[in-house]
Amino acid sequence: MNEQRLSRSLILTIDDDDMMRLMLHDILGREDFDVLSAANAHEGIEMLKTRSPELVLLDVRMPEMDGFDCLKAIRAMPGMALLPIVMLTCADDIDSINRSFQLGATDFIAKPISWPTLPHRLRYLLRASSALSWLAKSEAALRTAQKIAHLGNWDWTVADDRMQWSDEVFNVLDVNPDGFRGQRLDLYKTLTSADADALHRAIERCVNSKKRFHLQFQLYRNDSSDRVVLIRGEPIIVDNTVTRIQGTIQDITERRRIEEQIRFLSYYDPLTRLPNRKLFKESLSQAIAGCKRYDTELSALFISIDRFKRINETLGPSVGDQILKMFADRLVTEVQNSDYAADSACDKSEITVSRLGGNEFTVLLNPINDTRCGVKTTKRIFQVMSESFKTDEHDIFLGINIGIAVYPGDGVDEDSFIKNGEFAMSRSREQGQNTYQFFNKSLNAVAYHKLSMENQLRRAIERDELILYYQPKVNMREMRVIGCEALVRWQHPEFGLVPPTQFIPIAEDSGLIIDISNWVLETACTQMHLWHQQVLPPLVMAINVSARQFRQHDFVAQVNSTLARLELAPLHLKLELTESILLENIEEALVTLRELDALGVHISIDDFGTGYSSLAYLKKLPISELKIDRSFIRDIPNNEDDMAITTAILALAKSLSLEVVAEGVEHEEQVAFLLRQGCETAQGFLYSKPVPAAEFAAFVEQFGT
Amino acid sequence: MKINTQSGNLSPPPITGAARFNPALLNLLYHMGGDALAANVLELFRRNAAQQIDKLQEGLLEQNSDTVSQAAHSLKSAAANIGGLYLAELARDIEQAARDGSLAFDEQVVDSLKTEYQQLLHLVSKQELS
Repeated sequence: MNEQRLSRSLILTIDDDDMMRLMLHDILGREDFDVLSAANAHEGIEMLKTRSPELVLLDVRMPEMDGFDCLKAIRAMPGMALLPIVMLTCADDIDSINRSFQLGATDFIAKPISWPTLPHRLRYLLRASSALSWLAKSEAALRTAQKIAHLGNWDWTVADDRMQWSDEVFNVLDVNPDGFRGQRLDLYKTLTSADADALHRAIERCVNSKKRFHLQFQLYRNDSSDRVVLIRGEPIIVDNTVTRIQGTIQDITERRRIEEQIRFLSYYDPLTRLPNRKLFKESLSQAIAGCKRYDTELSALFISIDRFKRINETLGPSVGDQILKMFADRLVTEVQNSDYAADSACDKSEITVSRLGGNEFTVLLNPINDTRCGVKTTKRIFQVMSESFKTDEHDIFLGINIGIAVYPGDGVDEDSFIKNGEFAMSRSREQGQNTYQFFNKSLNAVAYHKLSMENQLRRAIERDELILYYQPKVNMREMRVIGCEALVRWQHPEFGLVPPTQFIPIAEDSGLIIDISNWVLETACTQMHLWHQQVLPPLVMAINVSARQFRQHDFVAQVNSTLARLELAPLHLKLELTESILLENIEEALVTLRELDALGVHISIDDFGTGYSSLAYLKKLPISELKIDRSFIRDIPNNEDDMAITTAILALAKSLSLEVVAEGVEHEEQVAFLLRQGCETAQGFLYSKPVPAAEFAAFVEQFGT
Repeated sequence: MKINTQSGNLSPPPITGAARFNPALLNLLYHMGGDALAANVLELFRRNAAQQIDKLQEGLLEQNSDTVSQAAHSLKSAAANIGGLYLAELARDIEQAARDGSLAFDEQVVDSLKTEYQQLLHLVSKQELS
């Protein structure tokens, strides 16, 4: 019953002819129609307001308000634009028919009515009308859907190069539709020329290959809200030829932002914003592949914070998070430190810091030249992490442990490598706070030896195990001592005298070289002061300056204060520097040198001839002396090249008014040659090896007498 | 009869039964709506036609073209509805004349309408009986 009623269509008939109303009502009522009858236009319009007929049959000729006026009135009512209105008129009344259509009639039916065909005619009209309204709804829904999805569609016909767009395309591209005249060029004009080229090529390729395409573009907007737009195209193929391309243009900015966010959440630790275990593993996998391809090595440090759980438990997880964040920041800052990057052992390394989870971090060094690179980094990390972590209320000191793994060797793939690195880390924990362990134990032994030497060297300064030896500088012609070079020795309680070649590199690696250099300056000056009190003839004390010492910002002040404290005239001090120290940062070096020169301290260039001598700078530098390296002196008089070089250096020095000292003089022949060439000053075993202070004083007194 | 037609004031040709009445429409009504519909339609025709002829006569007396035109139109529709071809044609001509102002307000017109009306009723009742 309900269904039947649902399937019946409601028709409104407006006709002043009661016979017509009777026949329409009766005949249509027998079919699947319900009929409302109105005897005039006003009655019909009232019925329309309360009922919702699906179709109106409207007589043209009626008294008072005729069919035309009624038609106009209905069309002006809201929501009635698409209501099918069929005019009833005489077939020969051409004027009425034309006027009806002009006023928006849907169709007309001629009187006398052909009763058998009427129901069919009406059903057809209802179907057409419902198809039209469905189409209108569907179009509206599509427009809304396109707006919601920020997706427009386009259609391009190959043969005539015509392109059509939906309205949303203009919204997505943020352009005025007025500029669009139906050609591809209109679309291209909204893109950058590179993007337009890419799209043009993609369309041409699509036509040739018959394959769909998609392209992404960045749209640059003036208000800096740049958008990402995705263009897709799908070929329509007829008879094996692409006749059209149908496509979409979609604003995927939001999707991309969410994808980025998803990527960030799945590959990064949100707290520290460092790569997480997953990304570390992927990076490591790529790095290992690189090592295999280029036959290089890499190293990873696995760092854990000791007893971090206790911080969370006692101070709360928010303090714990704060500390983890600071730890991560400090770690990143340290490994990105420019000094570090300049380190020769690691200068080619790419460094990645990750948080593997909880209290565990990693530093990936790839590639490395030397396993020492990992140790150096480790030590720097120990150093920066030994400083306290200041939270709002607490000052916290952390102990850390580091496991070091090296590829190849410590694992065949990223999984075994990580397992081994973490194993080394836990073994380091067994050794106590602030220790590190290689996964490979033999590397531990080497590292252990160096670390132990370093610790002992640190103590050596405190325990006065360092001593200075002095090698005389003599005037070969006058046979008198004019000064000496102070040379540091380590009197080790177990190993005896350790040569500088063994401990100076360790001192340089660990930074202890600064303490040692300062100690040398102080001790040598003090010694000079003592000798003056012993009434030795006036001598010049030469000491070696290390690169790090020279670059300390207060180096000149320190020299000055040392001299002042000991009441030592600056002309009694000579600082020996290697060329490499001066040339590394020539402008800065020049400032320091000028300050020293202003103090009256003399500068000597050590090992001259072995570095990349820059004669141009030599002239600019306020120096007073060159020391010819022992390698040029050694084979005199048998090596003609060395003799030529020595002669050349002497000529150069003479033209620049520099003094010259020949190092490593061991034979009389060398003396004879040097004197002949005008070089009067030398040091070497021929006269004396480096000796302790007391022996040196005795040597001065007896030499030449 | 003095009715202006397009063919001028010629005497009309003799009217045959077929030219006067087309039974197909009423047959269709029988066929589609049964006796009741046909009977109701005819009843309405009888009443409406008589009313409209009276109204038309009044219009002629008052020389009111609008009344004449409206009554003629309704009479035309009523006749056409049942297949009364000649009555419809007469009514149409009057309507047309009243509209374009060529109508001579001659009451003889009413007589001919009444005659034709009776003739039509006679034909219709013969049809009903068959």
